[in-house]
Amino acid sequence: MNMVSKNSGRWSIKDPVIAKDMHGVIGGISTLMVFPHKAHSEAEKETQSKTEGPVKMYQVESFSWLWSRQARKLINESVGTYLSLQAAVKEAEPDECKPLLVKKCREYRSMIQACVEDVNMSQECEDQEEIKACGQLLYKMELILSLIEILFIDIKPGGLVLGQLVMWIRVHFTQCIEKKNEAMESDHPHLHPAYWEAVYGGVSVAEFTVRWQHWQSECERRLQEGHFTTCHQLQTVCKILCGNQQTINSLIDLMDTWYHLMVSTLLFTCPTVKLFRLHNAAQDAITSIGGEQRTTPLDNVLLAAMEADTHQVIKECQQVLDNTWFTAHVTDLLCHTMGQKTGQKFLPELRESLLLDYASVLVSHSSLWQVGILYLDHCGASGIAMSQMVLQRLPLTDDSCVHKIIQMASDRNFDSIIVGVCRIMGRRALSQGRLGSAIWWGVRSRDAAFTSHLAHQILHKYVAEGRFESSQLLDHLGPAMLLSDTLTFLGKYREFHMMYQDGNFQDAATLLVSLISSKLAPEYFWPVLLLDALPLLKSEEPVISAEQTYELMYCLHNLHNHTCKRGKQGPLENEVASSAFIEKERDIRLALSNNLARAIIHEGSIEN
Amino acid sequence: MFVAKSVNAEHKDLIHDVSFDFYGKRMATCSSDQSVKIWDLNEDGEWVCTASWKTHCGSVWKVTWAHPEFVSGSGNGIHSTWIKRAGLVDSRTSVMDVKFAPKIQGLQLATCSAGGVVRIYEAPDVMNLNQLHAPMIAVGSDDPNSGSGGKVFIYEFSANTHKWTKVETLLTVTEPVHDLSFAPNLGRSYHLLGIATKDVRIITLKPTKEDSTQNQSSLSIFEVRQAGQFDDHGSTVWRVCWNLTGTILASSGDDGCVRLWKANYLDIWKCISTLRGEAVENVTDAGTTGGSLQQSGATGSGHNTARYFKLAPTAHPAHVPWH
Repeated sequence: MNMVSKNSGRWSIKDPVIAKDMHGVIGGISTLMVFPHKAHSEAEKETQSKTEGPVKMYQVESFSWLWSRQARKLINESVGTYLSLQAAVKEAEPDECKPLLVKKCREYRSMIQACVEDVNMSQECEDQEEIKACGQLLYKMELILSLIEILFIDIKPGGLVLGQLVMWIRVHFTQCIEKKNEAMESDHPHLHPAYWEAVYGGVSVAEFTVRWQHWQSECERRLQEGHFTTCHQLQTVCKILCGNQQTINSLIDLMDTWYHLMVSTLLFTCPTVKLFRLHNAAQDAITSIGGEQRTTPLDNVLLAAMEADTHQVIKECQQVLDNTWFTAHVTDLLCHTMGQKTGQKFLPELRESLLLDYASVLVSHSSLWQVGILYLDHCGASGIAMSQMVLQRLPLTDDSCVHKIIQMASDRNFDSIIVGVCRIMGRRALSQGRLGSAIWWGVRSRDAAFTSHLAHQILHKYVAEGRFESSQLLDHLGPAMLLSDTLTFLGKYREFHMMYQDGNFQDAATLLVSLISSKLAPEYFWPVLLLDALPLLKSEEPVISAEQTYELMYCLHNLHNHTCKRGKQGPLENEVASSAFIEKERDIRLALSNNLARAIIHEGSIEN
Repeated sequence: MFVAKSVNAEHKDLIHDVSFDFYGKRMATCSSDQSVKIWDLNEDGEWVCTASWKTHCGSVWKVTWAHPEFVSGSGNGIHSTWIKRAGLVDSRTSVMDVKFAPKIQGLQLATCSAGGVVRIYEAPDVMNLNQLHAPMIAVGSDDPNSGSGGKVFIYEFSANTHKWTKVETLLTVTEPVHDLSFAPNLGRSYHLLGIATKDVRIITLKPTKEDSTQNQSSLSIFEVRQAGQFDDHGSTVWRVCWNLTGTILASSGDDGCVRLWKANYLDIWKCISTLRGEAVENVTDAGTTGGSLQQSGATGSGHNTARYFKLAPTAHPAHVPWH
């Protein structure tokens, strides 16, 4: 382990006020609000008050290359490959895994290459330094990833790696090819200063052939016989072909890096090098090029890869690259590649932890959170818990955003999240006075107490104004109305209105009486129901039976008693409705007794 | 890498507390100038003060937000609670801290006062949700007498007896405790408690297996382990604060630094960043525009509040490996 605090990143904010003492509060996942804390002494205050001005706070955020425009494309494209990889690995037979992983690794690489091209295209109008840094970062990522592909994923039978390594150098270090082109374009190629440099360089990355050894001894023989003594350049070429270490080392300046040197040396000394011997060659190459003092963090990554030390590779990657994208995806690939191998047991846990880090960067971004959730789906229990947390805490700014959150939550069976979001939307609609919308959200959140409260409000409003708020919605509640008694009553009462409007008096009357007798109706609504009964009682054909009439009479009787009692105690709750009712009470009584008489006669005559 | 942008706090005196709402898009600040201010993040990502009130005769020490589900009626659906320096209804002494319970426990508010009393308030009309775990609260004491034993106590609520009972005392913490906070639990099998005392402590509380049985009358038993103890601040630590995922702990201490702590995949905790303020004499450093107060006056007209500037690394600029 490294020393804990000495190696940690130290950052300073240039503000003398905050330098005295400060506190930090974390908001969200990675935002830190820093504010000055300790009181200054009085003397200090006097001397500084003029320059200090108002108190300042600082919002400190971790800033990643991932926020840049160039990274956006990489993030959005790689998620598809990542997801298909997870799905395919699950289904694949053990022997099918390797080609699959190689394919996916190449997909990642081509995405990075596409990004490099984009960066090179967009060199106008942007910060040159940033562009350059971005290009370098992408280049390093691709370089490391392709080496990892050779050394860990696309392992050839027998552990032969040199052919791939030569290709790797050839693709990434184009200096020799460029020199060759330069030299060939001039009129007298062999006179051009770059000519021989190109020849030496070209030879050092030549293709390997099976007849190599025969061929090399042939070279050695000819060299000894002095075939090339007339031209010392040709002699050098021949020495390279013979694997003369000294000659190769003397040409170090032509090679950009120790790995270029290593590959060149191996090609002419030990072309059948096995994977497990590679680290010796790597060490030798580093020593000849200047020793470990001159190695960069990038060199350390590549060296760790040559030494087949996955743990070290990932650790070094974190230091070279300022982004969690790379480590997360590389670890995922390595984990799937080496999942079964012993000695790599840390990989699954490390993979999960690094994917969580990457996902938590994404979910804290206002437009990348959905991508983050997709990664969290494959991060075990912590991933699920984190995506629940994220979905709960996304600001519910508009309806489309709310629907997106609900959709993503229901895809993952996060019922409590949906309920929570709907409940908040319901509270919000209520505070804005949109009762209908509040009911809708209340029903979706299955919140009985809340919908009951809303139903009461709608009924009160009806009593006061004589019309329904958002009747359309209430007419289509369906079975949802059973959520609470008051809501059931409200829904049924709307049904009664519909029947009455359609002229279906018989059913309307039955429903109305059942609403009264079932005691579903809140007491303040009884007068309304009785007044609703009035036209039905007076209809030409009797639609309310004798028994139903008794129910209504019983209700009227109760209401009368309650009203009297309350009248003595103080003013009535619903003044308007009640006074209207008292005026009509005589009317209702008369209609009830008339209807009772008619109903008894009618029922009697039918029976006979 | 870190970037920072300055926000003009508009308070006339020291800020004592900053609190983010559930979504992190709204912020409350309180100050010695007796006022509470509410800030909203506008479309350009700037913090704009949208409300400010002054109702107390004394410093306002703490502000905290309730869960949006519990709040209705008030204009935009969010509501803040603030505590006076002296005298809540019940409390005769200073209220030192106030915190809301997690949503799953309904609308509960805990306060602690200088008199050493913890009060838990509950709004009774909130729906009772099925609880997976018994509610638990950790209380720290800033009693300066280190000889009097452990300073952090864990209480658990029993639904049967309706009482809070002490289930654990953390004997390893004997110095005065200034702040403590449970990390949000995202799929962990244990609880994580950050403690600010003479150093930063991170404690794990793992419920032992018997606890998960149906026997509700028995109290939980925890396996207590110290996951970290760090004296990097080299002095008293005043505050600890978790991020939403419970993966990063921020601590502020008397050395004037804010430090961030994170665990690697093996649950080994490390300091990943240190932030400090720097008194600058020379204000012509173009790299940190807006960083110093003098400069913000020069660049003028207050527009630079929205500007980010990159923080200058003072040491090792590379990211710290987390494993």
